[in-house]
Amino acid sequence: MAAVPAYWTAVDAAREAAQDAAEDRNPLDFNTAARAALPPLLGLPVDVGLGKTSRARTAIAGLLASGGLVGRKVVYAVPRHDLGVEQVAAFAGLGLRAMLWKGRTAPDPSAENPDQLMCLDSEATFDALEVEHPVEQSCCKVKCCGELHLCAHSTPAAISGRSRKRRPRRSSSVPMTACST
Amino acid sequence: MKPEAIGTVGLLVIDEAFWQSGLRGLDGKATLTQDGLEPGRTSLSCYGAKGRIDMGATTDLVAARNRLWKALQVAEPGPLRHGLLEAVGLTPEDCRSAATLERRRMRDAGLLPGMSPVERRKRIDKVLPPPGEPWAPPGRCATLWLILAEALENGQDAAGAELGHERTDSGSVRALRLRWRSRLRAGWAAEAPILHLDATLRPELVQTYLPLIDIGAPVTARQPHVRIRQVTGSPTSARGLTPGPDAPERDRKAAASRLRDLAAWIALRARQCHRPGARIDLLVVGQKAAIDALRATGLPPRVEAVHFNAARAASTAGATSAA
Repeated sequence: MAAVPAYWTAVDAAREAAQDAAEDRNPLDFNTAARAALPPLLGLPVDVGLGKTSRARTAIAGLLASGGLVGRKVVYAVPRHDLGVEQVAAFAGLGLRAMLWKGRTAPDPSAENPDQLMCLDSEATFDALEVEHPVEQSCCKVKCCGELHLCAHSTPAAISGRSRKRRPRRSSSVPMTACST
Repeated sequence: MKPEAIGTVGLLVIDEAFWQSGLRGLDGKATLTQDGLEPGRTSLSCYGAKGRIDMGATTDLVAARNRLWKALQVAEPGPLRHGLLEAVGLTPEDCRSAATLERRRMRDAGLLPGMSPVERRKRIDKVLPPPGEPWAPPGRCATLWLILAEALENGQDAAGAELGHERTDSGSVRALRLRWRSRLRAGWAAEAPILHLDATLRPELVQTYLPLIDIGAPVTARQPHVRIRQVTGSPTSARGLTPGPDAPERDRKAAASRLRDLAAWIALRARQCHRPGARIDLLVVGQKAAIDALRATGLPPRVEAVHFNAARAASTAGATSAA
């Protein structure tokens, strides 16, 4: 985890340098941040039952508390939604605010409709996929010719991704937990 | 695509193996019928930004499709052969260019959020060929070209494009079955540091997605008293024990029967492992859904059952035997 703050410090420094008008640089060069440092990528083969998940959570809490991410989020990807629910609770135990993100077709049963999916208009998303259009712009929210088009099920809170009841725009290929302080 | 509300990702932690999630077409549903790839189809037109036909791009795509069509006419069932692809004059550059052109076949249907289903269908019908006409979806065709490009670059047969027969309402037709590996979505992982945790991490599988990843030394527990017995061929997958709600009735019946057998075996093993005074005789670790199903059937006394991600909690509780 120690490499993460160092990486973002290098990226931020490179971006600041790129914005410095006094510096002689190519205005069409947009790759300054990319050249500053390569993101640390680490794979750890850790045996079952040794506590890798709980250690990772603790390390994330420390990283966020240290301010090493400078306001950026941590995304914790798990293979199933029920594990995501557990992670959210576990992060809350560490004093972190975490949100669970699910795909549009994930179940979201309610008392009125036990078959309800996360997206409240899944037919629209299937239509968009049939003609290979981006679902976000075709079904959720788009500004076209100065006019804002919204899904009929959208609320301002849902659009910003904060509502627990209306989540038509949430999309991810795997269950995700995003957490921040 | 990453939702805007998440903001910039400062660290991506991937807990458990993910490489299988990127494999596409393994269910055999990503197919392209040979008829749909015929170069003379009216649906083989590339469009510009304003929805007008781009004649130059269309001609280039027809030329590439003609070469592919020649190969398909003489190809035998199985993966498309490298020698055949070369013989018809396809190059990796041609294939990559054709992949780009294929995506330009799909016109903008003008779907907007909040549109009524009737209006959506009307607009979709305008950009798709009439019902009954063979249709090769542009995105899938682009994938085919990229599979061929990779095969040609590596001097290999195109294992991800396998010619076979597909059953349709009109009978059996020749079709290409596609299999490929997708990439990590750039929105999630483009600039962010990544920590990947997996008990069974295999570098050769992970590095296909993250070529620059450093793989740390394996962390294992000392287990001087552990004896491992692997039962091969037993139905222990999550789907085999707890099929989804959409699974056929026969799969659910089979799963119920397997769970009964497993519960009986657990009861037997718990008796074998029983030691006077021990708080727990047997620890069962498995997939969460399977463990929940076993708990629902009622486990014998002094048998602890936990799912994989909760194994640590069980180990700290001082379990004595594991199944």
